[in-house]
Amino acid sequence: MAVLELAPNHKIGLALRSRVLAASGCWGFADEYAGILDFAQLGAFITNPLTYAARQPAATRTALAFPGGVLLHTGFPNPGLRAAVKTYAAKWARMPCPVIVHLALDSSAEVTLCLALLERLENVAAVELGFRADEHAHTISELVRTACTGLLPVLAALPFERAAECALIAARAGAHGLSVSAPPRGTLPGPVSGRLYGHGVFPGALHNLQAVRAIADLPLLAGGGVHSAEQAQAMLAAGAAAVQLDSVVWSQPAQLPALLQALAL
Amino acid sequence: MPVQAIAAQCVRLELLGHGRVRAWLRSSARPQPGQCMLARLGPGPEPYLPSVLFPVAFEPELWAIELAPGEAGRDWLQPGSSLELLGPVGRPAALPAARGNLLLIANAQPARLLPFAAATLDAGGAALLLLSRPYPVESVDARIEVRIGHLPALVREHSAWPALAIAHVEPQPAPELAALLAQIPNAHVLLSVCLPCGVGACQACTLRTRAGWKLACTAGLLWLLAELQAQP
Repeated sequence: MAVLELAPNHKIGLALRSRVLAASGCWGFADEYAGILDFAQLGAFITNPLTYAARQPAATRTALAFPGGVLLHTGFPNPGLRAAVKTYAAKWARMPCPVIVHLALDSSAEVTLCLALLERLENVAAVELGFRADEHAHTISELVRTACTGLLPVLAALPFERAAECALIAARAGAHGLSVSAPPRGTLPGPVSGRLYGHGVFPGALHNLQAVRAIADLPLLAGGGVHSAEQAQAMLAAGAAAVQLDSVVWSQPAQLPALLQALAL
Repeated sequence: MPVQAIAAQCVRLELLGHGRVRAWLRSSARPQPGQCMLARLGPGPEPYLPSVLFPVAFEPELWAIELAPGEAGRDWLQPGSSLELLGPVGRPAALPAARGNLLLIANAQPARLLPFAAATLDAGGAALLLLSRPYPVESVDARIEVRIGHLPALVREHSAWPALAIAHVEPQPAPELAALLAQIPNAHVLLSVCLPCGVGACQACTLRTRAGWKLACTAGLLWLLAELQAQP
């Protein structure tokens, strides 16, 4: 039974059975963690970012722990959406929770091509559009607007550093929901730069959520450093419709079933 | 076997000298040579990423890891300690037939190579372990000859001897050593990589090979050196 409608303004909608989702960038493209937990406990699974064309790993790849988390730089390698559909569509169809495909695209033409591939897939329930921190406002608006001409609900993933600004842009462009869960970027001595994950990220993520909640009247998927039921409840209390779990799946995989059980609403 | 969450218990510790400790673990599944387990060795949230646990020895019901001074968990792990493992990570090693001479090359963690010697020794072959720093050699199978010194010099001296060589050098072999290893036929490397997830989800362990990009955590931690391309 659905406990949540995440896209009430969409003609099909996005009904979820749980308020806890797997965040993009941490759980893989499909069933990588199927041996660890039952995906039926998740409200939805959000894939790792997919680009239209295949994307190679970054030349300098880094995973470096720091007190409070880990800095990760991978370049978001992926096979490109067409190859990903060939590889994962059957797995997505069999997953016991809806799949939301995270797209990192450069143009409206790519949006149109990707939606044509995704709209015919079983159990793909929505798309999440990701944006670079320096993405031009006009580009964000165009990509969201184009995606909203398709059949699937569109969630706009707001860059951490510009969450409030981009929330307004995406809302005006017609997004059905907003993801306030993108990891911040940071630099560690080396210097090495990348995305930051871990419990140390949580205060900033909660701050972002509050800022976006204050200005946007759309369902919000919040996340960023959530490692406990208390932190997830704090996100919900701050106005999130659902909570995304990210790197907790790396640091505490064995505790995930209990965490999901504690968050069953 | 898919990666799973597995409960384990430390059943005994052996002090090896040079501050090293060998911890014997009991778990329902265990890694094979070439595989590892991930685990948090300690009660708190730090270090954030799990430790990579390579097997160094086996008994019928147990397997062992080895921890050096300063390593995460070295002072925390005690007999009776409970661990939550994630694994087995990677593929079991697929090595050529065990006959002939086996050359093992290591700097900081030589014990991780010892399981590879068992088949060679049992088949009557010879094994030689080259080390770059002091190590409690009395803990090494007496059938394995050990030499300690400057690794490039040692490898140069013995490069024509082995039928099979396996190197485990952290963080990675220096250019001089890498060039020497590349001249040894059948030279393999046991990778020393950071594995945040261990299941192929985070993409942090991408590896450039002649067959394209691979993930060390799913494609394997032991590689024929000739299959790897220079990592940019």
